[in-house]
Amino acid sequence: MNWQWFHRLSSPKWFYQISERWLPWVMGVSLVLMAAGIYQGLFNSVPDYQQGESVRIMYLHVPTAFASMMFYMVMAIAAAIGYIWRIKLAHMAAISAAPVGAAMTFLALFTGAFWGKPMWGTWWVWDARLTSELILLFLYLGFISLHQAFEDREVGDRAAGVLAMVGVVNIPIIHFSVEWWNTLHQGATISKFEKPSLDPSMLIALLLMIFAVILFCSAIMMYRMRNEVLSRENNKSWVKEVVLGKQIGKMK
Amino acid sequence: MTMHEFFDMGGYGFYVWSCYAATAVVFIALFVMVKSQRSRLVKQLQRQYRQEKRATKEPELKASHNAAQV
Repeated sequence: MNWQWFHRLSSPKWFYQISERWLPWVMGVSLVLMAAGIYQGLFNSVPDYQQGESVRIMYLHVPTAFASMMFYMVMAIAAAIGYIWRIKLAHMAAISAAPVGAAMTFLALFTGAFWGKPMWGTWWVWDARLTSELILLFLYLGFISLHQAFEDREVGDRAAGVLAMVGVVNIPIIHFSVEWWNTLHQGATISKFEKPSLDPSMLIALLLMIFAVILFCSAIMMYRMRNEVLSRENNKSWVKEVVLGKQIGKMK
Repeated sequence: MTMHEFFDMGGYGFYVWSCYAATAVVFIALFVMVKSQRSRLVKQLQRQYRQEKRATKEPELKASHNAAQV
């Protein structure tokens, strides 16, 4: 079997070059979807029959909460690939996903609190959904600080990678917390396909924002990975060319 | 819908706009941080490469200097 494609896929140089071509598109499409989603969410969708206009927080809360879990899985899978096959680019992906995921977790908690205050009458309760999402934030922060704690970056990759893999346990807990425990948090909104509980105008806004946030996070993660590649491969001649070529105003 | 009604958000204005503002701040910060990380990194690598270049040239310079002294 020919494994060359696999090798190429894990080459930092290949990633650096292909991401340069992709990034304007990923970022561009994300911003267009976000503009459309915000317009749909704020101007073109109906208020909720129970929650009134406060439901417009949903168009930020659900996408950021979804991204917070999705990028944890991205981080953990990348860390596992790096750990098992010793692929440098996978470790770079893991450490680049962490700050993005942490930011999304923070926003999910923030928008949740600002939605909870008017609807439930409290900023915070120690219930299953909220607590497990807070643990997710600590897992991200733990991953980042554990990675930084080692002088040798490759030891840090592996140590933090183990933490990321163990922490995956928390993801199904977050997802099913609203079913397993009695909680203040409402149940799933979109994934109930048999009986959709959203007005179509709301569903459009929500889906636009979910795709926009995922693409935006992917773009930021790719930017971070590019920095990581330059930093870690600094003794390679192609990196020297990229860095010094920029100095005389030539884009490589 | 008047401007006032829009910003009031049925009495939930403070909560709705706080969320949109916080999200905007975090998204912009993510972008600005990664861009400034890159420019810092490029500057640091440029300095490093220049130093390496000087370090490889230096022994020759020293040798010619010593020769001149003798």
